[in-house]
Amino acid sequence: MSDIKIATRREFLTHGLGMVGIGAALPNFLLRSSLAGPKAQSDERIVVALALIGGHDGLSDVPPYGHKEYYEYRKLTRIEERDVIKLNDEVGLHPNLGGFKELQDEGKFATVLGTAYPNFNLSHFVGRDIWESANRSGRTGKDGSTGWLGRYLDHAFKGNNDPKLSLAVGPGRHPLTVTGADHPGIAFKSPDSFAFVGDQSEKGYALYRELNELSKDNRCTPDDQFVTQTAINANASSETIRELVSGYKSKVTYPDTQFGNSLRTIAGLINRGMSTRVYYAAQGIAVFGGYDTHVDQPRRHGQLMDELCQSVSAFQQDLAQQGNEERVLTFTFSEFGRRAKENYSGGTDHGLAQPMFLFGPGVKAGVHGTQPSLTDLDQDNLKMTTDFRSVYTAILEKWLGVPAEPILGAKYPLLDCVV
Amino acid sequence: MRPTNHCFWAASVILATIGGVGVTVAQEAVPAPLKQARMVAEKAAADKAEAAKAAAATMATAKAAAEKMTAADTAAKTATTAKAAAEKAVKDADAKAAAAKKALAEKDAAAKVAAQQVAAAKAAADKAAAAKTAADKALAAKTTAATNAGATLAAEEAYHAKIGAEKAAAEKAKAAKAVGAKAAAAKTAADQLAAAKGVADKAAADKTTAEKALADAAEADKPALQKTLDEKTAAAKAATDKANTAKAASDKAAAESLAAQKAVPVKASAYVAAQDKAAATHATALGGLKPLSSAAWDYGKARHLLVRAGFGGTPQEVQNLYAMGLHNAVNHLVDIYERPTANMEFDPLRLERPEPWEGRLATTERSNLSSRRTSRERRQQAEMRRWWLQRMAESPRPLQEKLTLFWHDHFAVQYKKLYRTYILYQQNQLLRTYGCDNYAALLRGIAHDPATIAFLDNHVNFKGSGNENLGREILELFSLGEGQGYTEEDLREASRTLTGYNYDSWTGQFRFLATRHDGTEKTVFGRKGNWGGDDLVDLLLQHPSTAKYTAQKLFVFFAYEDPEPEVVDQLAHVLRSGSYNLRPMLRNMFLSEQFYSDRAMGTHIKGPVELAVGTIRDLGMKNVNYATVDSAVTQMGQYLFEPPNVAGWNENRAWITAERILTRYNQMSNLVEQPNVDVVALLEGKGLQTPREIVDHLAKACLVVDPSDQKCADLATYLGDLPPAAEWAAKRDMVNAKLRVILALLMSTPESQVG
Repeated sequence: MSDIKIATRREFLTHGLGMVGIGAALPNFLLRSSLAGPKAQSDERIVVALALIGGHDGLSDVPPYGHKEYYEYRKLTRIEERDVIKLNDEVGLHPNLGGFKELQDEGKFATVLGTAYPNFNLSHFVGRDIWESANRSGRTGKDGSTGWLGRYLDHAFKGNNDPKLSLAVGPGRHPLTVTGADHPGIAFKSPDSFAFVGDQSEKGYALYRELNELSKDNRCTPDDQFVTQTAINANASSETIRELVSGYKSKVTYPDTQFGNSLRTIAGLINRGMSTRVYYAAQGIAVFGGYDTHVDQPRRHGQLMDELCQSVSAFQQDLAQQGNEERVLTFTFSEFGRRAKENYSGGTDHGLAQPMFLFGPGVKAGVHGTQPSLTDLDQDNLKMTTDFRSVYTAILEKWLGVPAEPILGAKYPLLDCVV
Repeated sequence: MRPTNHCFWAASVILATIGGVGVTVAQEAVPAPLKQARMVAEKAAADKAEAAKAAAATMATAKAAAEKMTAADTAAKTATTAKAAAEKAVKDADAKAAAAKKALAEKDAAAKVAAQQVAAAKAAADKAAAAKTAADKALAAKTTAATNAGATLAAEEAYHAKIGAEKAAAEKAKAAKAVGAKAAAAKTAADQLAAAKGVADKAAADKTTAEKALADAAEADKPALQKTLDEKTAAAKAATDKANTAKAASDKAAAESLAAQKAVPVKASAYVAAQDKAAATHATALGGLKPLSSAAWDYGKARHLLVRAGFGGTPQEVQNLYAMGLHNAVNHLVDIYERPTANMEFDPLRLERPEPWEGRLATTERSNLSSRRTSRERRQQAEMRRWWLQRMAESPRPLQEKLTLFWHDHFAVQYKKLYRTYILYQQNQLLRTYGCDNYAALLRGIAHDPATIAFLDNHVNFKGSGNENLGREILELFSLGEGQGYTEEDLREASRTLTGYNYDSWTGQFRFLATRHDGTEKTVFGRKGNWGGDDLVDLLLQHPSTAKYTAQKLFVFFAYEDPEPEVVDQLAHVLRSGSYNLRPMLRNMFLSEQFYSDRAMGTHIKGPVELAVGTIRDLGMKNVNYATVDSAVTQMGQYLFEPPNVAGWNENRAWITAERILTRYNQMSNLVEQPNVDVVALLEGKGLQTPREIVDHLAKACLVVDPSDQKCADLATYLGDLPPAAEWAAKRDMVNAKLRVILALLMSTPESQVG
């Protein structure tokens, strides 16, 4: 970041703080905070959820080059065998995922094949809600809906009201995954724009804070309470978060994209001892459709693979340099995979089973699960070979050390993919 | 059996005869004279012995024979037994065969009988089914007849109620008119009375003068003067009479005028009652929601209506709407074609087709040309966003723009995929034209809409090489709703119906590529046919989920979330039975009790556009810089023509995140602190002076939910005393600056987020 002196509020409103500098030039309202957030203990474990928005083509992420049908089904959207980074005799990685192979060789990368759930839904929105809530009733934005990592917080951090336990960086909406009943969490796109810049006089700011407290004599519908509580959480944490991020200088270079910057922000917060235990970032929001590659798939999907690999590799490297790698487990998921056969417009339509990726020294490196058959299909879709909640079960029980059943609402066999 | 028995009995008889003969021979040897006798005896003995020998031999023979006979007999007997057994077996087998045959025959017979019975039963069942069908048909006919009769009756009642309301309206107008006429008549009569009284007074004075002249006059003059007096007396009397008549007339006119004045409120309340009745009977005839009673109509409800069916308005505009009464207020907003158009047009250029000569340009020249075109295209896209925001803030038909915004979210397309302002503008006009008119026309338009086709990849959906992006979303998001009565198979078949629905990239017009259309049979919702895209629209319109989903979405947008199923059903019925005309449904919804219930009033978390445009309208802001507004709504998360995905923006709570709430406060504060915001104009002439009065008035103007008493008191303290209202005009800038600070704080409250 530059050291240009902060200028007008107008500049802030248009560009955020990132464009106008921070640090010595911090305006009064930014220096008001107590800055130091509650420090996390160095052995406290963290989970980072990465959503691949749009429904990704697992057959391009992890091409089953060992199956001849793959090359029959895929004419325009195939990964040629010579380009596949082979993981075993059956499957390998997309050529742009070289960094993941390196991580695997270091024991920090795992692939789980064929994940899905019964009675699948190929709507983007319902599909994502199912993956995020890990049940069939949770809906984004619906009062009372929670996600599985949010429920983990409810379970493991009962009575701890720190709003920063759950943090989402980047998405426009508040993601379900990290929403708990008692832990609504905080979402922001960029720490640079996460600040109140209204009335900055001492009296005016005090009045502003008072106007945003829950008052007894006011009407208070659940929505009123939700808005007020969100404002209270924002006021209580925005300055801390901004200060923590702006004070972190990473030695690692991330791609200068929304996703890359989200991961850099998360690495910065972890480094500065932020109390957050579950993080969320999303890839594919900034590009139209994200992974929803009905047309022009190889180019669009290839770019996303490149961004994914570079961002996550940088993130792992950054964590390792900070000495925080050991306590962070990161995983990817998407609302669904894509159809086994391509669609003739150089793309693929919505499909079912998909691979998941897990990162960090806490994973059992290598390939887990079974590659779905390319001949035994369900309405042209790859069949599920592992329920995705078996992976969640492993993360909850083996990584976070909590019983999975009360959080997931049912018992699923544990997939042995976490150390 | 019989012959065997005969043999057996014959052998036994022979055996008994032989034994009897031997016994008889031995008993005949009797003694005579001794010698002779002896001899005889010896001889006899010898004979006897001989005989005995012979007899024994015979006996032996006979015995042997008998034994033989016995053996034979035994053999025969055995044989007979065996034969008998065999014969018995044969007989048994025969019997069994016979029995089996008999049983078979019986079974055959039984089966035949059963078959006959089945046939009979089937015939009976068929008959019963036919009877039931006939009965059902009769019942359906009766039900239909009853329904039709009911509908006819309801329609008739509604018609009469409407006539009644019209009559009441006429009477109210007549009464209002009568007030003026009668008042004028009363005034004329009063004037006439005054004139007559003047004349009478003068005549009386003349009479007095004449009397006095007569008394004072010489005798000689008296007769003449007496005559004058008589004349004056008569004139005075006549004038008094006239004045009395005029007074009576004036009193009458005054009474009539008073009566006319009194009649007005009576007629007015009769009119309101007639309107209520007309609305209630109309709602019943439509099968829609029960309307609110006019008695419950108040300022707060008028404000709620203006905020939801439009974008809000100044306190004066709310007051005007309130004064119209419930029914006229709803009509004022819904009958958009009776209001003037926004008179504000936008004229984007189409994409410029490269000329052949461009190929001969140098690379840098070509790239300059291309970047000039690109930046012009981006510029006109930004202009379009500002144009629409201004239109939302200024149109005399706010509901039309609100609905355009609703459909823009419903039929979402993104500029960042298309880079063609022209086709997005065409879609925006399609939404504006049909979006407050008819959903069926709108959906058909969408199936032909170049922006939708391009955004959802239908331009590459061809026969034999399908792309199901549009097919999926048209079912899931545009008509039926996710999971509402279709299968994955329906979805693929629906995609096939849309093959060849394409557009011309340069002209931006729809075109149908017949050779790329899949002309084979498809099965959609169980119905087979060689369906095309327009048929798909028809099939969707016939599907009951469509009206339900559309009504539900509209109700949630305008009233509240998670509506009661019966509310949705009733609105869906109004929509579907009304051939998908939207205004009857909207009118029914905006009149309904539900729309004004606690679940609805002040419960909606405003979207960024609603927040910004609403504030502009609430404060009556003039000379607004719409580039600032565009930037504000974008920062708050609603970049127009860039919804996050095909499902549009996530509404309500999804607008609010920790960062977004601060962004909303910041952007809205900035908007109301623009130097052109004239708060004084909003407060002038309202008789406001104390800080608290001013704060309360400002809060009422721009917030739907009142802040607590404590918050208002603290804001009043922070505002402090202002110069006397009379000096505001002279010290406008100073007063405005102080007031804008309060306005900005009001915009930084949770209360400002809902409406």
